[in-house]
Amino acid sequence: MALDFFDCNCCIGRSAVTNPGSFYATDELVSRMSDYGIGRALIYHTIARDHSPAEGNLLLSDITRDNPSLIPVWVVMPHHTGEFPAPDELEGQMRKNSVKAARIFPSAGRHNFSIKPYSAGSLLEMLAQNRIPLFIDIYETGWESIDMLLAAYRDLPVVLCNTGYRGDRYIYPLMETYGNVYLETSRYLSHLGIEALCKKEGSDRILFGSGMPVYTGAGAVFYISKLMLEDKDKQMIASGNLERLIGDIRL
Amino acid sequence: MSNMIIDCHCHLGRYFNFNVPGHSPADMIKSMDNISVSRACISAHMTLTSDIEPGNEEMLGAVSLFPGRFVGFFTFNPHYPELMGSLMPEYFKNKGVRGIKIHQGTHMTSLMNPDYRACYSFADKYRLPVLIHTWDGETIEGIRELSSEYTGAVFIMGHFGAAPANMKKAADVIKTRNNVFGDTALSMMMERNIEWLVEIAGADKVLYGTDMPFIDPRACLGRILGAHISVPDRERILGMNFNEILENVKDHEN
Repeated sequence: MALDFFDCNCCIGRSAVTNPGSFYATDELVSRMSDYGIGRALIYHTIARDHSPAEGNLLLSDITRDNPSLIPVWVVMPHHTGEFPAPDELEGQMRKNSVKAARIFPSAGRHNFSIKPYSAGSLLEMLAQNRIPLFIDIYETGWESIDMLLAAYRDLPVVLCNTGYRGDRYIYPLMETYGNVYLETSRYLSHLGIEALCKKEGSDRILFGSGMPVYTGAGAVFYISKLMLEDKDKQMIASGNLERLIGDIRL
Repeated sequence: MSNMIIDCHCHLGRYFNFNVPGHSPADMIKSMDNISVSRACISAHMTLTSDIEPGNEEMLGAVSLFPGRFVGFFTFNPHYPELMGSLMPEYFKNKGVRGIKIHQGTHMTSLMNPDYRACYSFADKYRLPVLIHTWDGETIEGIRELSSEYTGAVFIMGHFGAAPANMKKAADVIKTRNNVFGDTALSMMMERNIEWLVEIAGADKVLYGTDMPFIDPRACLGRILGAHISVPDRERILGMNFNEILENVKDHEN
């Protein structure tokens, strides 16, 4: 069975540091998606991550307008300093730009803010009210902060990205405890780990991601294609679960 | 898919620091069958962080349980030189054991530890592959030196140096030595990294390795199958290179 792939973990744009084999141009992303059999992708902009969310997010609209297979994700942060729109203004901007997910980089080495309610509360409340999925690289927050986030915002779908192969002792109890936590696959590489997790928690909260342009697109697709699961479960992971999350957005 | 896929870098068993869902020999065989891998080289996790003796026994048990599917790698721990001196020749009387594993990182030492010399000499004599955890410049330089001294041994840079800057240093050594190779075992599998390794080291010096069951092998195999390299190059990486190494191993005198 040929799977329909919808990649939840891609970015576009030039980074300060790059690796051999990587790329940054939109055309190249679209070409490689086609090469690997990925039909659609959620994308955020590297300038939103590495420089300024307010500036980088706005660069996406030109890209996604010309490429319907690419769907915009905005990098968000709290508004208190005036560097970023307040939640009510942001809500309108996200609606206007057909944004389908948000991403945060709160670590000290990145955007350097607290995700506790005093700082990010109104932002996260707005995302939760609109059921906008929030993507987080686990090394941006650490595991203990994820527990706090999931408990405080039960209506907020939180997708854990780049979890690596060492996180099961956190992932299993988090998925048992919280229905609003999801797992992205690109670096969830414990051996037969997806099969084992599906057996315990089901397949409806696992989302295909590649991590392109940094990580391998070909490997990410082959990994899901060769899962020893029923076809319906593989299809949910490949695209169905992400489509359902996007369909639930109330924005 | 290639007719012969050999995974040169695998382990076996549970691990103290995290869950390994598919850690048993049967799990690994199931995984290998799923992606058409004919053989896998194994050393037990237990030998890396705990007791070397039951750990090596665990490896031997798996080799015996699935003959022809697992290639045993004896883990050498230099902190127990006398024990290693007595155990190592005994293990290699079993023709299913065809290599040595060194993990100077978890054993908290360096390749230049004098107590490793017995293992290098043994590998030199029997033309054995020595799989070395290669994550830093010091280890790469150590392999540069040792590979010129022990020319009969085959040194495999496990993880190929890990980060791109070290991969380049590793390739510089690999290109200048007939008896040094690098493997593809990485958790951070970068986009089109295989093409680059072939470019800088040559397809005849890259070996398919995955770190199973630390890491699921499917993503690693997928990036090789999807790599923009020639069919002969792909076949060399996936099995031919390592098969030649194994065919060159000299049997131990029983």
